[in-house]
Amino acid sequence: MWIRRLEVEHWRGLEHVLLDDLSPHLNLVTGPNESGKSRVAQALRFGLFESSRGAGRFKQDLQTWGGSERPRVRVDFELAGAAWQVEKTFVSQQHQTRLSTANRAFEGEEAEARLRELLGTEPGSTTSPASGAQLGRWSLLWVEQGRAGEEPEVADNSAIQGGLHDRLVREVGDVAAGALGQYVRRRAREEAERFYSQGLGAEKKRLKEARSHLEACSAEREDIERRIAAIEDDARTLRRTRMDESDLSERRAVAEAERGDARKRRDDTRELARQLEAVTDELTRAEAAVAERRKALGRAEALAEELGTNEQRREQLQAELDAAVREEAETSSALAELRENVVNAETALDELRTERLRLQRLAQARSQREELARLDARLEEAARQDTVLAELRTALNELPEVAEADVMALRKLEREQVEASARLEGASVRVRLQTQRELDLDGERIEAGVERTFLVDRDRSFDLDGVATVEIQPGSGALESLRDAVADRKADLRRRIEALGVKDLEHAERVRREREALVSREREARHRLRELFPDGREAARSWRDELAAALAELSQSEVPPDLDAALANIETDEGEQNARAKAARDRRDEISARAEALARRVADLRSELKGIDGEVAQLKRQLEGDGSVARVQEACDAAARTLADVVARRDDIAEVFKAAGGDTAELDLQRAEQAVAALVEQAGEKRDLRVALEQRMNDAGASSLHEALQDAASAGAAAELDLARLEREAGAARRLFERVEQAYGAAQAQLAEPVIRRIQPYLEQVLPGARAHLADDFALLGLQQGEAGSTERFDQLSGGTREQLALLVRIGLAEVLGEDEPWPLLLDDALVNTDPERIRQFQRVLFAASRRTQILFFTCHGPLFDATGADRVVPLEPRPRRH
Amino acid sequence: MRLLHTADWQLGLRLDFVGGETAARLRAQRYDTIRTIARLAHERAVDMVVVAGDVFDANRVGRDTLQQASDALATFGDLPVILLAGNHDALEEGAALTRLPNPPAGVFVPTGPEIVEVAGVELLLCPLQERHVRGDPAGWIPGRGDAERIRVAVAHGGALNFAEGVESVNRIEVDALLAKGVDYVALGDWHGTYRVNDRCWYSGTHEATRFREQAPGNVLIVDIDGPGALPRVETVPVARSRWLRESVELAEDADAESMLQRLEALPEKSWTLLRLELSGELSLAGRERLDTGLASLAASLAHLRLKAEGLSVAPTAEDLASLEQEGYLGEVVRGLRDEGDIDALRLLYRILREAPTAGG
Repeated sequence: MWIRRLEVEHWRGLEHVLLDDLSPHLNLVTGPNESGKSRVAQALRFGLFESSRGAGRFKQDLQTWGGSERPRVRVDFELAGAAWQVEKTFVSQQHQTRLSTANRAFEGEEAEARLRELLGTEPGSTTSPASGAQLGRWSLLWVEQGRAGEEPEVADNSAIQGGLHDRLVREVGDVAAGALGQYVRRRAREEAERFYSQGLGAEKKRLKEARSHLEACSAEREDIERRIAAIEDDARTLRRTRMDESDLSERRAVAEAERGDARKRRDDTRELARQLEAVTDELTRAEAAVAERRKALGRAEALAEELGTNEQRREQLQAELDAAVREEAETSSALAELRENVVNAETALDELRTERLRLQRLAQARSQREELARLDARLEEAARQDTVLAELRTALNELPEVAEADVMALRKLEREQVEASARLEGASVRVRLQTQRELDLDGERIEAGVERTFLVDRDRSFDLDGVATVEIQPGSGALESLRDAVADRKADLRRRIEALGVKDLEHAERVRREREALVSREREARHRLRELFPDGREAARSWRDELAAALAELSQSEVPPDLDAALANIETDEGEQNARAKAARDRRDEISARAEALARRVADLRSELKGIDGEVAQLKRQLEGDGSVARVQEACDAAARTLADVVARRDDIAEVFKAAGGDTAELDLQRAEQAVAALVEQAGEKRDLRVALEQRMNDAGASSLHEALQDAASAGAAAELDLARLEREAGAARRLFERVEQAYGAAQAQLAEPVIRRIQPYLEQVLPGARAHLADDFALLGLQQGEAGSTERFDQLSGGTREQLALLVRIGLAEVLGEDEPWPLLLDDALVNTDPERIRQFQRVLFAASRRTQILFFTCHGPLFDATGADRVVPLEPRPRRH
Repeated sequence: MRLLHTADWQLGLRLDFVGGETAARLRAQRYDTIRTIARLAHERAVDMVVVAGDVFDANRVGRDTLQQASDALATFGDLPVILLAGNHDALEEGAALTRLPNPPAGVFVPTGPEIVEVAGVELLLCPLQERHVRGDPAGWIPGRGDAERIRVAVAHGGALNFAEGVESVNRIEVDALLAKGVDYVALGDWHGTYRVNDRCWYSGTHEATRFREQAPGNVLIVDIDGPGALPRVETVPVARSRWLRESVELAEDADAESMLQRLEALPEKSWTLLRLELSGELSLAGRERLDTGLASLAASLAHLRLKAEGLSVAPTAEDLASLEQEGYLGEVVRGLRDEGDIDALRLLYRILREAPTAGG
């Protein structure tokens, strides 16, 4: 189908607009705002899709405000090779629709119905504009102003879906199962959603309840089992408690019998204990008496024994005293002899010592003489050195005193003088005179052929043999100061030389070297003198005098020839004699000490003997006073016999006491009483426990736990079965649903592919490298940049890109839908968000698409579309809106 | 001498797995069958009734159960009824048998191993004091001696090792017992009627308690002419409920049809409990029909326990043709079939069958 011509009259302020000679390809309707583009587009829409019947508000609005003319539209179109005209007048009393073709015409409702049939739309309401669903494919093909960026609504439009589906099924083959496929899809979803929430994320109440019911059953069963186990436990405890009670009763009877026995034994032992106490007192007394007697006997026996011991001791002391007295006498005699020996030895020693001293003095004189000779030799050398020193000092005194500094000063002065002379010479004139013949020069005759040179450093005139006078003025008379300088330097040097007393600089240097040599020799001589007498020569001289005097004294003594040997012998003899004298002294001292010790021993023995004599006398007196040992012994024996009697009695009573339990009887009774008390207490506890358990068992007997347990078990089993059945059903529903969705999605993806294939070349023009993503219901998902690029969601794209992409999808879908019969595409200001550059790219798309599909492109940016290559351009003039 | 031997009444057993009113009927029937036994005892003029253990299912039964037991026992009148404690109602503290409210005059509950004389017969009674007794509960029974009386031992436990692999407790040495000169051993514990030998029998339970029991629902009328004489034992059915076990292999859909017809024809279905184990392979349609048929059968039976894990559904070529769809549904069917997801396939089958247009 394509629209050939459109005529609009009295349409919302448009008096008359005619678009004729429209192309089946690309038609550009341009015009500024308010030129009526959108009103023309609206008229075309009303002409094709809205019934002329009825006067709904939306139709009344078509009428020009204040005007009375009815809005009218006429559309000429060609469909399936036939030319058609439809003419409609709105807001009219009658049905004002006329549809005509070459040989037929329809009026009114028939015309509307026929038109709907031709265009594939559904009848709509007369009170509101046709909906997208009623418009079917046209809702996709017609883009109203400002809606280009919206996604084409395909999902909710069964006509488009059906059309696309039929179209694509033919193209891609068997991809879906039509109405049955949709039914199965819906039912599979319903089945799955019986058990799961939408999206199959969570289980629904039914499954949850079955699960929680099973858990509740299990919990109840476990609770009952616990209660039964508790009762069983109580039953076992009760049985044990009863046995324990019986056992305790027997044990208590035994314990009480034992307590009776213990009590009797305790009473018996109390009486025996009293008797035992009495006999024990008696025993104590008897033991005291025996002890007393035995003590007296012990004392008597001790005195007798001590007396014996003392007498024995006295005899022993007497013998020791006698022996000591004898030894003392012998020692005194030996001591006198030893003292004499000591005197003799010491005398001999004194003689030897005197002789040794004499010999030592002779040896000393000999060495002093040798020392005196060495001193004299050194003094002589010193005298020689003194002479040398005097000579050196004279020579030094004779030489002028020229120091190193003086020589340096002279050298400096000479240098200055030479420098002054050089400066003068440099400034002088050298005059060379060569005589050609003999002549007088300044009165001096000079032979021919002689060459004379004159250095003229001051104005001078030469008289040349009276023939000529030559005047020479070097430096034009300025050499005076140089000459003076030379004279000054010379005078300075001369004065200095004279002051030093030398002839010239060379002399001065020689004098200085001589002086240095003399000073060096003087230093050496002095050094030798210090070496000869480090302590001074006077000390040496007085030492010599002392030696000489000492030797003078000794010169009388005779020095034996073997003085050293004699001295050695006498020292050996003296040592030996000294040892002998020491031995004699030691022996004397030893014997002397022995004699003293013996004297003390004799005195001690005598004193001790005297004491023993006193003690013996004392003991004898005591023994005579206390009586004899035999008497005391007799009294002691009597006391012991009494004691033995008492002990025998005591043992008899103790034996009976022990047999009766002794000291433990009281404890035994306490133990028995406590044992009885403990058993009574235990029995009480057991009784209380038994009563409580009996009560509990009695109470438990009233409940039907066994039946309840079976109920719970059965309910659990039923719940388990129910849950298993539900889970199985749910699993099947879920798997079916997932598989249906998966297969359906795959089929839809297959269906979307041809649309994408058609869009892709256009997309390449506008967005090179991009690929559109369509959902299974052709909804735009987004745009992928490049093969592996990320996909941007449609709603996140820029307004311009959204607009372009949506238009491309419309074009693609229009091409799919218009495979048999192309349907016109109306785009009213469809690229308002697109920049000029992209518009230029889009023009290619429009042109290419219009080769298959008629495009009516309304725009207010005419110049931007100059290069579109439109087949027909219809400029609209600005028309002021009249309402 | 004639006695009636019964055992394992298991009073207090709830049978709730049956569910609803049927369970209540079955519970009540356990008491009614005692009344049936009482009538039989009177009719057959027995000298005594011995209940060889497990009168109650547990010691923790409620008063209601005890009262119903007493009421049922009352129908025996003055007839001596020996109630022996078994492992389920052992004579522990609070044992159910010791809590019977107003037991009838003829009821006797031995509280320990004892010998009593009833109608000139020496009864050797071996109640269980505890649930599990190690050793022979009847080991204490003395030899016959010089007594010229019929000797009947009543005991509860395993004469055979019924539970293979489980350490044996309450084990009764029957041969040793008979060697001591016992004329008849009345045993309880095994729920099916079972002859150990000429002188030793299990009567089994009077009403079955589970499907796996062999020959339950009887009592034994035992006649012993005199000491040493061989007892004459007659098995008398008393149970009202029928517990059936069926294991059916279904090779094709027609097998399921014939099985359903046969089961539908069962007598007294309201007293019949059926454990049906199915195996084999059916078509989807066959399985659908089977499920419908079994649902109908379950409504008429007292209880139907179905085990159909062994029954697989193999979509036939016809099934698959009916499921075969164009487009993505074809993919769905192929995918489910390849994965053998029969449940999902069946659901799809149902959905397609319910489709408004004839899609499947």
